[in-house]
Amino acid sequence: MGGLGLQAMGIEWGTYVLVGSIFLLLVTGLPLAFVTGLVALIFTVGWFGPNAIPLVISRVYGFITEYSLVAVPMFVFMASLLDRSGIAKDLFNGMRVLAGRMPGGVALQTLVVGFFLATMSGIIGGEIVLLGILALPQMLRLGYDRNLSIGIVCASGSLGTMIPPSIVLIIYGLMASVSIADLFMAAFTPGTILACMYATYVLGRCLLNPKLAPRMELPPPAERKAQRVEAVKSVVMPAAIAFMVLGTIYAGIASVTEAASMGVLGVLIATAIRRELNPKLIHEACMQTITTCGMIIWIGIGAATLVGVYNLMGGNRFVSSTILGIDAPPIVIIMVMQLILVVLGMFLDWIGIAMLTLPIFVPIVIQLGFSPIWFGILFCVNMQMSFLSPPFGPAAFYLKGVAPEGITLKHIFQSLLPFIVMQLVVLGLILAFPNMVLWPLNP
Amino acid sequence: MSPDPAVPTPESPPERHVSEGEITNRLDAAVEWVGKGFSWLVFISMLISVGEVISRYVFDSPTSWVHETTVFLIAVMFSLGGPVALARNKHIRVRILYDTVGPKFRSWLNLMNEIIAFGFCGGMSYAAYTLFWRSSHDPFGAWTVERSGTSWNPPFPTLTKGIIMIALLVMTVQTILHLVQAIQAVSNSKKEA
Repeated sequence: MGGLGLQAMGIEWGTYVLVGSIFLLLVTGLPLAFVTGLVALIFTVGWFGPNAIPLVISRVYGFITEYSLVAVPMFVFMASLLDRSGIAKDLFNGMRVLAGRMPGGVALQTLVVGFFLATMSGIIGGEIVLLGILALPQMLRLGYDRNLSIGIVCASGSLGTMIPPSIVLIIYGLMASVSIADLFMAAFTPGTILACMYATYVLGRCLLNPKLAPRMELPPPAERKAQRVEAVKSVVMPAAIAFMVLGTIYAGIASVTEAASMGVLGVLIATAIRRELNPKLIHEACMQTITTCGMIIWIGIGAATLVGVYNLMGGNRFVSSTILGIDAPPIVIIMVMQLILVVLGMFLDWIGIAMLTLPIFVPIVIQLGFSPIWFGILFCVNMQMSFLSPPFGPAAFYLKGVAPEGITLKHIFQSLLPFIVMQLVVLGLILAFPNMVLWPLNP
Repeated sequence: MSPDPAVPTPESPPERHVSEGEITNRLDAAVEWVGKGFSWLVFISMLISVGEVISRYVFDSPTSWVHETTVFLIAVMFSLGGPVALARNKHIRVRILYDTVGPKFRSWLNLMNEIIAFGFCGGMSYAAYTLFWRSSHDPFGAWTVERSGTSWNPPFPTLTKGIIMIALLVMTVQTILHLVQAIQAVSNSKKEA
């Protein structure tokens, strides 16, 4: 049995109708996973007939049985455990040592803590909430500028996407068939540069205008010494956990998936040492993991079926011949792709964007002669921007959930603007100087 | 990162008929109860993965079953995560229109969404059934089991495909119940008007 005549549209109109119907259904508030899956089913039956259904659904099986995808629940689990333990809180208190000594001290303290949390786990959300609870009230109490405080909390809390291990990079590696360890290696430099830019920004603004961040009085020397000891103590456990995860990956001892499992074990040991470990803690973290994965993976399932049927229709050939047919330098095509990602990032979840665009974009990138690793880092910076960018930047909503009263979404998005600009600058730098990310890979 | 279940979303208006994060019927409660049990799969997978690394490096004897078992356990967790997230209506959606319209329009929107969601779950269930049938029957229609083809050769492919089918069937029943609730909400809002 053939299709129901949809293929009479031809691939060009087929593409428009497909994209159009997805956006129409999305606007009604239907879950992303269901929208993509349903459109995929309709096009499968309409274009090829019911006989093609098994072919499309078999991609779902292929997707959820990917070995590298196992790392995702492990990192989610790890973050869920971290959120429930006092490790992050102690880290924040320990880093107080930075606060009195520099202009904008507490903001820098927040940034350092955010960076450390990012090296331990690869997801954001929990980190922003933690910093929103710990750091934001303190900065506001000390009379720090509101926008600066909000901005640094969200920006530091979202570093998890960029600093390895990162779930965004894991999914990218999966979709682009490139080594996740290589991606982690390449992401470190731009991630660190980004964090340094944030620090310079805070320092610079506070130096130029000391009113933004009133200096705290330095504690008496005896207490200062105690603070230093406390600081070292608080860093030991997070550093050990981060070393367990990243060390095993970079040393090539274990796969990313196994390293993530080691990280979970590390957090469990740390909570045990802190006498926080109990079955309830583990159980709550497990339950959060299955729900979060249910949301992430089912978007992937919907997108996998959609991409499956679209490629079967010849969509990937259509898009790549259209894009490669543009009479423009290759770098312009890459920039256009970034622009598409920025726009999509305003409305869609990162995992949906990854699953829908990467199967089409990555082959083009390779065909144009660029490194897929380089493009992966660009993708990652771009998705980090989407966390912060209005109107749906998840970072803002996370912070809104825990922010003191009187702080509106408008304030938050306003505060994020300078940080989005800095991310754009890093994006531009990576575009202009690919070696910035690729140097660790070709020594 | 996708919205996290532990994080409150105060932006969502409270008066919705199926508000996010609430259990509204017995099936959803049962799904969550079962999900709680299966959520430990991630813990078990972590333990055996770590065990594999230790046995490989410390005892120099890599295992043959850990790799496939972890993938299987996590695939089961992924599949069941669908119904679990649906039970509390946690699947990620674009709220651009949803949050701006009044309660009456929203109840109609919900009704339409549940119908479409039913279309998705029903269609996918059928698709998953064909996948499972092909995996569990030979070309002559007799029962058989698809194995992974490795030296250990577990029947995981058939099992995984069966679980995908079960997850989708459960989601279909869930959306039918949600559809009924949405119809009730619409008729209630009509009575009030």
